[in-house]
Amino acid sequence: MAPDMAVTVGGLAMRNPFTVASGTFGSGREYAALWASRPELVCPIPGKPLSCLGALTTKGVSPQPWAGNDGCRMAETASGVLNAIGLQNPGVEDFCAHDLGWLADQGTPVIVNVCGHSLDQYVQVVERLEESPAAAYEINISCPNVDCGGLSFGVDPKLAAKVVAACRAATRRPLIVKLTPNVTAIADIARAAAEAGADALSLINTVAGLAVDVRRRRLVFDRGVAGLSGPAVKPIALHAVHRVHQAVALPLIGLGGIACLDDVLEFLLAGATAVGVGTANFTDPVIVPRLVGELERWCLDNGVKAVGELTGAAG
Amino acid sequence: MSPPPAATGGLSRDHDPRPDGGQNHDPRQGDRKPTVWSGGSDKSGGLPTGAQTDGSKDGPRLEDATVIDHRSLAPGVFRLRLAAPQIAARAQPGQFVHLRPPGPGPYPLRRPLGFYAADPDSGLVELVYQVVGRGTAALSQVAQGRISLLGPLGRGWRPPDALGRALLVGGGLGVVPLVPLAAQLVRDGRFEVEVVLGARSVAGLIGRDDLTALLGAERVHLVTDDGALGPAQPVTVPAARLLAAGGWDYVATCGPEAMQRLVAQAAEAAGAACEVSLERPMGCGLGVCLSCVVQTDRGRQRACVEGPVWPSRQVVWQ
Repeated sequence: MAPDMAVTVGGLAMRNPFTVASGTFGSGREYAALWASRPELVCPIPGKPLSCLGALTTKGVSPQPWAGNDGCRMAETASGVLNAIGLQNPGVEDFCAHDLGWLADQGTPVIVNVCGHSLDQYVQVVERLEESPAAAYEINISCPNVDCGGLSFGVDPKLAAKVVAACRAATRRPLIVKLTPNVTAIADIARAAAEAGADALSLINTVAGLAVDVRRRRLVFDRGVAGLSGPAVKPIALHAVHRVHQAVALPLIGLGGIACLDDVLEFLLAGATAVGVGTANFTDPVIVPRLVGELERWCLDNGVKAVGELTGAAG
Repeated sequence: MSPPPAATGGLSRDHDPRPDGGQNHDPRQGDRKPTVWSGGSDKSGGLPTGAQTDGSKDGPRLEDATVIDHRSLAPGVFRLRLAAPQIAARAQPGQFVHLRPPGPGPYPLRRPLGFYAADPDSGLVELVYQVVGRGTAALSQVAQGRISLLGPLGRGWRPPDALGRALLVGGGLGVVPLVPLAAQLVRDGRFEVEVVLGARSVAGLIGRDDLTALLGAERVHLVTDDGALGPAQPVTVPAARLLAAGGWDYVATCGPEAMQRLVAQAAEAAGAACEVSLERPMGCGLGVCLSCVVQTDRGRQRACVEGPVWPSRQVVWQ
């Protein structure tokens, strides 16, 4: 019998445990077009390639357009990628006008990643989206690439709780809070978010990193710091997921360096209910539909009746 | 002005440029006989004209391409010929592929490489690249097998519809996307085409033979930093001299950005429509990650979607 691949993350029903990491998938149109060109990929809803996702997580959306950072925005490291995009986006009005309507019709729930420079700005985005077909919100208090807001909320339990509580007051939809690994005690932040009303947590955002241009004798990125992602951060992410799973009862979306089926299984067994694929979309732009199939086959072959049995099973 | 060692032009980029520009990395130079097929000069080869295909609307393809031939053209410079029929059928001059470095190596990012040639009939594409980092170094070791390509990507050259004279100016590996453009312009027959190529030394004048066969030696102007072919000067000097003489309708350039800027200024001063081809560190290649943005008069645009070719007047030079 086919295994039950469905999971529920803080009230968000997903047909399988897969979503994508915010910022690596835009609003989905580009990947939908590419997936549609691969006839071997079978989707639950014919003609809607994105329906093979458990949920789609959008690029970060702010109340007004953000220009993002100047200078170099990406560099490769050993098994990793540093980025310093700076949450460039056209703002929530443009997002609603051009992307969200289309996205909501693709047969997969849409998690809108919400960012802001201040507490009010987070709330502003959530309030604007309340009348929209967004299925859930992912509150980004963990981006290392903006000066104001972003990471500064995610490293302080009190500030994190304030942002979450304010967003909670603005919506009854599933509220996912995305955590940064750039803290001493991630479980403290997780507990604060849980107590403030988060329905689920996603972790990790990128790890703060730096690169130096030896030839020019200067820093590669204008702001110095950039965010590290890719296979290099996977052990850090797994550790964070495991730790937070022990500390709070909320469902977790695990992400950070997932690039193959074993990586997915590691995150589930360490405590994640769902997983996000990020940088690997750049390496292999059809990796997500492939992993969806591979995970189901693995469950079948290993006598797993429901994928949810795996969550936290490694102890 | 010498091109910086890591600059390759023509969207041949690696993600960890090595200070030596890969000049010492040349495992197979001259170990094979020269090729017969060449997209740049073979009548049946070359890229389709804009009128022949409308492939870009059809979107890029992810294709496991088969290595047909791979050889060194100069120290650290390689030509990779691949069977990739889906991509060959859609490629336009100035577009590129996003290539996944081979093997299980730690390369999360693909590498953007510009087309040197593509032939929809045979299904072959040719990429010419310089070893500038570990990804291209690993690629240069590949002798056979399959390589994952994503493409064709980006917006290629868009020469004006009018009749006239075109000058193509290439610095170093910046010549790569100019070769299929020259082939297309010759096939269309609307433009009289001349080319100026510059490199540090004669060995670095990639594409010289194909362009000479296509255009005739008198229309291919060569210059090197070491003075082996006359005055030692950057490619911008003879390019500016030709442009100042007037009579040019279209200028296309690729190479180090500072060089392209000088060529664009000279072209604009001479009243010619000018296009440039810019490169940036690139992530997805599809337009989602916003890594490869270029400042333009319409705001930040993506080298992988709105670029890599822009009208020079739209570029806000940094």
